[in-house]
Amino acid sequence: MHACYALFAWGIVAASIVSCLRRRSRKQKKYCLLAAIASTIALFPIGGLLLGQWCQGLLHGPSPVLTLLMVVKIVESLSRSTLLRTGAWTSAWMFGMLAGWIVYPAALGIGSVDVYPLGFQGMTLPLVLAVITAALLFHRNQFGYVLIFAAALWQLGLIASPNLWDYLIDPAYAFLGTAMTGGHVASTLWANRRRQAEISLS
Amino acid sequence: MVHCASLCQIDPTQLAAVWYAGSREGARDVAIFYSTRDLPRESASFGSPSAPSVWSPPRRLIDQPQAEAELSQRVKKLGNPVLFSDTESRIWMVYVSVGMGGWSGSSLNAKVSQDGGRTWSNSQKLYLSPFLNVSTLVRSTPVLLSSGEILLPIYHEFLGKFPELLRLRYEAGRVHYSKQRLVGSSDFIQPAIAVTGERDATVLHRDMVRRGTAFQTTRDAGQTWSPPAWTGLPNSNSSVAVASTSEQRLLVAWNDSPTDRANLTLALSGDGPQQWTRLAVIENEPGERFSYPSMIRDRDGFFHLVYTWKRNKIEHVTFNEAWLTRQEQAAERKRTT
Repeated sequence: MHACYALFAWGIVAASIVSCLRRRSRKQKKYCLLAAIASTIALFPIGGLLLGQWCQGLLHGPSPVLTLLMVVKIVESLSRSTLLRTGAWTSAWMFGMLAGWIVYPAALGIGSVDVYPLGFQGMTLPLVLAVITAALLFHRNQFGYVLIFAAALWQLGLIASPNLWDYLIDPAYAFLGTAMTGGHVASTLWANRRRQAEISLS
Repeated sequence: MVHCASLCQIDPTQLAAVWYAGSREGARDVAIFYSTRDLPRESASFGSPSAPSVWSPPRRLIDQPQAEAELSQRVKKLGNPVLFSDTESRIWMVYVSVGMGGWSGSSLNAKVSQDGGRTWSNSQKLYLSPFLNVSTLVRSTPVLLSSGEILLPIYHEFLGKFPELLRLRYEAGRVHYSKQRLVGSSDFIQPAIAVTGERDATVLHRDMVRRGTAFQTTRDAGQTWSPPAWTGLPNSNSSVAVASTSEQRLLVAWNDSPTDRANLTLALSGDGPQQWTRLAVIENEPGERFSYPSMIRDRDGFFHLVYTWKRNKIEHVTFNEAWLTRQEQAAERKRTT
């Protein structure tokens, strides 16, 4: 099961890269086909291992949350539909950023407190996750469903790591979350500044 | 090149050891070897074709292609192995593998034998770091907890260098694990642990910046640990081995120098890990390297020390507590005269 997930997740990474290119083109069928072909690239054999196994061994794979977000993005991009509303995407990027900044500096040795072991055992992290999920769902934020799905996959032991954190975040998601949230904050500040400038001119 | 031996008692009459060997450290041809012998009461060498030995012929336990096949992941090279047995007579080997880069790209893998070392499970990758699962290494032997869990000292050396403890148990054909940090980024690596009481234990650390050998203690079976303090023993950025005596004193094998690995010395703690008596110099040859000691006390009370001898072979030294007492008395007489 672990190996299947790794191949699936890296196939999704390849397909999501193709679907990002799709936005600049109207040739929908062509890009659906390209995304489907790209998703099989993880099965390409190189030196006795599959490409997905190489990526998994070297880069430790995308987390289930990021994989699910990529699946949503691919479907939204290729079907021109909306599965997650803007607020859910904003929450998703903020979650990636915050979780990344909480986990990675400590895991790399900054400070004596390391929150990563909370994902191995105990109820602290599952309880915090439950509270965050409940708050999101209370506000009708669809990102809550993504977190429920990730927690369910953790119970099923989908990936090789038993640590709940590894179901929630990965370095690429933390980086994307930081970049998207930073970009969102910067564009909001820029828009406010422009609005104030326009008001003062008028 | 042979390096980094680790040994354990696998049944009432036998010792087993693992080490790695190849054309050079970090080479692709490095493999981990396994050997056994009847519980000895005399010293011997092994790990090299030129070393006459009472140890069984070395058996290749795993090499780079086999590790890659068992893990279904890219493996560039193999590194430090640690061997130990649990309360259910299983034999464990936890070893380092590198997927990319140098030792900072390391991760840990576990193999378990349930038939006295004849057959071994496939390697199981241990996921111990959220950041690409890199830079966790192992060096020293673990201690067994009364719960049946194993407390294995490990360390991290990517950006921050710091020691950790890995809790292992075997259930339903899988290795289950969690970990805890001993101290944050500190330049302390390769922790070595010894039990000194029912709920007491001490870890000693290799110091990467050669300030000395540091220690931490616990009084609650490893739940919490004291801040690091200095033992007063020098450390030349080299690995330390520690075992406890029947009187719960610490016996240390280490390079007694702030600069090099030219000697290997035994020291016994007095009242706590800051008072030491140097008992014996096991090796001393300027310009040479005697490194990576590993030490256990068998069920009969004999100590077994293995270490890398000039990177040519593994040396195995055996002694008992009576010998330690004589060495301590001699050191005491020397001090008073």
